[in-house]
Amino acid sequence: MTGSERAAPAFLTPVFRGQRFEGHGIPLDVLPDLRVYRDLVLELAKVLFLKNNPTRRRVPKGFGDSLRLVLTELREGSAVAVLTRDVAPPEQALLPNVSKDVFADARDLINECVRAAAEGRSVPDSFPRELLGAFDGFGRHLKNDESVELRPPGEDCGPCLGFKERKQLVLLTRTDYRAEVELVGRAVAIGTDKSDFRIELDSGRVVTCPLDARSEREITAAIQDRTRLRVRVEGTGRFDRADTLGRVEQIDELETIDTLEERLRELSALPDGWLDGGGTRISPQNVEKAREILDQLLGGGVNPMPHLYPRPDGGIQAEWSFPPWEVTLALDFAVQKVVLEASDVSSDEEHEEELLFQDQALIEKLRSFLMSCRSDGQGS
Amino acid sequence: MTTECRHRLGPLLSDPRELLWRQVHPGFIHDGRVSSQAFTPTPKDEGLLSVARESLTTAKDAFRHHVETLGFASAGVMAVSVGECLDASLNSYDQPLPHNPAHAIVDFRALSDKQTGKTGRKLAALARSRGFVYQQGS
Repeated sequence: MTGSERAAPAFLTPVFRGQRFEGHGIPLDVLPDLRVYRDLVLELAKVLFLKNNPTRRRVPKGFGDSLRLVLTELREGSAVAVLTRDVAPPEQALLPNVSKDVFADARDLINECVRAAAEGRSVPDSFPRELLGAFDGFGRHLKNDESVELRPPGEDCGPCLGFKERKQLVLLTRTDYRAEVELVGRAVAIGTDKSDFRIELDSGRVVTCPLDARSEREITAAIQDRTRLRVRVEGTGRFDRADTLGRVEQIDELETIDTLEERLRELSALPDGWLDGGGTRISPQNVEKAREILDQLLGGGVNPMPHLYPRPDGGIQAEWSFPPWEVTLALDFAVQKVVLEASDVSSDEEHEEELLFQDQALIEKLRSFLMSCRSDGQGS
Repeated sequence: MTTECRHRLGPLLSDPRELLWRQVHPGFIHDGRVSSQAFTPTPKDEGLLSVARESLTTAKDAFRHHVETLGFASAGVMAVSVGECLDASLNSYDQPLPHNPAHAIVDFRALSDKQTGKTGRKLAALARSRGFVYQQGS
């Protein structure tokens, strides 16, 4: 440092806590929150300035430029960011009619607001209600079990902003709030203007997500092959007061999952003794045979995708529920046979069929058997 | 448990409303759906499906005994009633064990392999409609 330089004091030391911050770094995904914080300080400082100077109608020229916050340091201890002001307070004070450090006042008022939320108190009257919505953005990229401590200069602790505090502050003036969301389900439709698509979750709820041109082909494929393809979405969702997700507002990550491949991978990873000491592992050759048969069945129009389970003898069992029919398809690799059994659980009616793997019409016979059960129900 | 122990059965369970807790191995769950195999005895079970009695233990305690005392895997507890077993032509018997006085069995021994599979499908469907009666964290 030269003689004319001096170390700028920290304006704020945000301490990020949670699993993602244990490596003492801050994921890039979270950095936009600091920009929202800077904007909130600036907006609040404007309000405070005008309140302190009732004769002024607007803030002085250059007011906004006088708050340039920069991330100057990352320290250990979860992830400790140090935000300093590029323009130090004495220079800032040279702005006409700005004799008071309103930016520091804004920082302190934000801290007081967060502290009040954490302690279940009312937010200070001096905090403008129209700015509470900023908390919809500040802290939005934190996961529900993460928080940021807003440590002011010269202090070794500060108020913590987590999911609970953020939601509480936002809902003081709004009816919903935004938060990180991760969904897995089946893509069922694309909107008529192709600006959104809908995912059906396992609970049966359908959620609307935004669609961009890059993802359109992937989503179209997932809709066409919804028997086996599921879609995983990570992004920002809008939730109501009861924490019910209304819609997904922004997608950060979109992935298509081949559920057949995913399940076969899980089954092939089972070791010998998987069933509390018993249970034979499923050999790679047998997993491959199962893939071949199931792939052809699903490709031949059988749906939905069956639930797949290991058998203690090293086989694989596919099951469907087509109420009132309960159907099992057992792949017995030792004797190279498929055993199909269907029970009507509301009566004693029973169907069964045994087919050899080498049967030329194996897939057609399996398909026909399954479709005859499906005529009574949609299946699951 | 020796074969002799397994086959020494106590009194027939007679209250059709009594629920029988059945541990579900994690391998028998896919996307939240429980396989009919969870309600079908494996060859080593010799036709006797182990359960625990509602009148003598809770589903939670049965789970803890299975996982913590016996060291076995369980994804949770499902249930069928004594009456549902009777409807499927299965008797249930008290079979207290020194470390597990609530232990009971559902007797599949009179059934053929095909009948066993069919009955397992029926009991699993009944248990699924009831849902898990206990899962860790619930």
